[in-house]
Amino acid sequence: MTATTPVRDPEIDDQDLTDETWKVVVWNDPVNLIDYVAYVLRKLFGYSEQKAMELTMRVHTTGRAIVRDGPREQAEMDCYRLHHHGLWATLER
Amino acid sequence: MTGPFRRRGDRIEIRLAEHEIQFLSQLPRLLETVGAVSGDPAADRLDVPAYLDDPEAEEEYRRWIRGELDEARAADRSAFVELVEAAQTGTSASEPEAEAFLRVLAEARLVLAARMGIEVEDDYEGLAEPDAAVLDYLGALQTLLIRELSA
Repeated sequence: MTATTPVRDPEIDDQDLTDETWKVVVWNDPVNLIDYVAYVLRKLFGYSEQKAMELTMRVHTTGRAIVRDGPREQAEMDCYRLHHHGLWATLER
Repeated sequence: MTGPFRRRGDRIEIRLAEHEIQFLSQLPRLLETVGAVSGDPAADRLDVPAYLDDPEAEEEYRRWIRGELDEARAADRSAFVELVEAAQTGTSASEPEAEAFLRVLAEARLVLAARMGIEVEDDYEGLAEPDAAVLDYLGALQTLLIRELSA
């Protein structure tokens, strides 16, 4: 069983042909476990155990952390995957 | 096998006691109730916005992911139910299946916690029993499964 991959609406794609960088932010929440958040970051983005845990602890102690950045379409896909895992993720420029 | 999960090669073996199966098999039904009544805090928690200050972009994002997210969550729950039902005699999951199991545990904790009124850390810390025990149990399963997935 694998999760399906969303296919973007071409109308939406056409609106964003810029190379502007978007940041994917994960926010602290009181329920998701630290181990779980770190595992998700490792699995989704291929981060080392150390980098995933550093980012997770930054989320936990400061309230948020930028976990990825890139073109808007990629950032939205990352955000979708984080939402699928129940993480509190948002996008910003 | 000391815990409910154990990695064997590229698969994760799962074995659960009857009382655990009875409890866990109810979770997908619980998750299906999210958003069934208006004002359900669990619905807000599962569908957090991607764009905080741009309603138009948020609407587009929502339109884009809505069906996909529902489908992905339904597939996770379906994999979860199959594994839980087979876990009394012992079954084994592929990594993607075990990760679906992990996501359902996470989703269930978020839904239950939202309905228990947990919004900030202090709410969680001050949670009374047996609510705390339910979240702790599901969290313990997550931790044990992550350990085997990472082994």
